[in-house]
Amino acid sequence: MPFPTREVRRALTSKHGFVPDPSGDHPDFSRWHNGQVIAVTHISHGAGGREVSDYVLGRMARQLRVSGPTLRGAITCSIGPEAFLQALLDGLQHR
Amino acid sequence: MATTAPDRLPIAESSRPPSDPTALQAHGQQDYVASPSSPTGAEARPIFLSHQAPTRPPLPSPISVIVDTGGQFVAEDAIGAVYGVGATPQEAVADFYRALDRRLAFLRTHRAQLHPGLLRELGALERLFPGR
Repeated sequence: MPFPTREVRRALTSKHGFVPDPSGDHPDFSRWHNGQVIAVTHISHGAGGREVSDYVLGRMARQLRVSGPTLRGAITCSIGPEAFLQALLDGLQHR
Repeated sequence: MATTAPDRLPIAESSRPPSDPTALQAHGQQDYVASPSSPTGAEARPIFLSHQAPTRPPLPSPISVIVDTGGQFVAEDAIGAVYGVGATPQEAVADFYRALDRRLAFLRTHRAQLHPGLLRELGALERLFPGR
């Protein structure tokens, strides 16, 4: 199921603490925790701009080293900020 | 005396030369290796026609491109750190390299603050894409 790009962007920044690219020129987002960068992802401009396809969402999940359902849950709020943060930290062990 | 019918032996069709000589693949000189024959065969070894060592087979591409169910092309590296999307494979690869360069720039800028996991990813990306 594709997600509106705006919804993905809002979930990352408002709910899960991702910081957008300060220049605003690129759809890049980083997540900091205890002074460390723990995750970096982007929403491709090539994705049509309005929607993020299911496959591309899977690429974002792989980039973040979390499962697809975890990222989808983070966007739809079935997975809260603490649980998603823990999933990001767990994923770092597999890099 | 009981007899059994012989089984049919499967015979594979022999390969045929292409009917159109222009369909033959082009080869460079470096593709040809001459092997000398000797009476004993013990010393036979390839002779390369140039002084250069034989070219290694090309490494597998670090990028794969697929078409998703929506018909858009998605390029991705082997470790899943970067992806790019486009309406054509070329656009997807171009988008991929833009994203790769931005990611590398970000990771290098914040190298001192990277979690060890991301530091490992930076090293892996630099090995996959040397010179970027």
